[in-house]
Amino acid sequence: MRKTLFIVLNTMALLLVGAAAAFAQEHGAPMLDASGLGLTCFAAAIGMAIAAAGCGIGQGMGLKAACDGTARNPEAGGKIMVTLILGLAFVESLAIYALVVNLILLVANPFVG
Amino acid sequence: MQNLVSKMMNGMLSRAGALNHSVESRLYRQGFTQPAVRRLIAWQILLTLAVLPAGALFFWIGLWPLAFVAGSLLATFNFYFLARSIQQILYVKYDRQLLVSMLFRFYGRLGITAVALFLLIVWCRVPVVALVAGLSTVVATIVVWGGARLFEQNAKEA
Repeated sequence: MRKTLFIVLNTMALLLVGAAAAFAQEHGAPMLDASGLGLTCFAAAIGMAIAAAGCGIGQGMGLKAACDGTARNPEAGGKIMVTLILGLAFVESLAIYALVVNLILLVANPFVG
Repeated sequence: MQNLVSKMMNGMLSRAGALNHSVESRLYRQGFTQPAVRRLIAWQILLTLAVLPAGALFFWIGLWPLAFVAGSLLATFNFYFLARSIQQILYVKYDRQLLVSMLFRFYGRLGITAVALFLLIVWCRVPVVALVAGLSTVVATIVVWGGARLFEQNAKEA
């Protein structure tokens, strides 16, 4: 338990330090040229495609397994549904994070004037 | 002084309990028959209700509280309709109309979320860290709910 808490706290501290360093670089950000801008758009498109594909596959697999389980054992439907909702919420939040990141890359990029 | 503080704490807890009960009864009337799902969504709604006045109180700090509140509202909206549609998928008898309405609702929800995020990020230029933190309230609620369930199970076994 103590070890898990230690790992979680260390990870959070590293994330906070990393985020602070990343945001500190915003002020001295170089401007992007045309090729850089093109690459950014390409990266946003590919990033969203990968996120949508991964999340779609994950949600589909989860839903398939839930339907299978409920069909085999209808009495366990309640428990299966709770787990399914949790899984889908996690997967969907990942897709939303990817959308946010790609929107930032495309239309609110800190590296573009 | 200590007596007054404990009285205030008790009053707040009882009010929170009453609010939780009222939210859960409304959810039950809306078709959330599974107690675990109902409790989870009630917790998320209560968290959002708690965050709303805080965002209104601290709006003078800047866009950070408002972005957090917007993210939290968006996450709650998404989570509520996700849970509702899954309940309908698993429990309501299949027919063609249900399928069409489910598809419309699913893509409508995703469209509304995407448009809201676009408006928030591009037009309002909200701080993205606060927005993502608000969107993560669902994940935080699920983690806390899972921990509480684990604790309850351990307490029952002991």
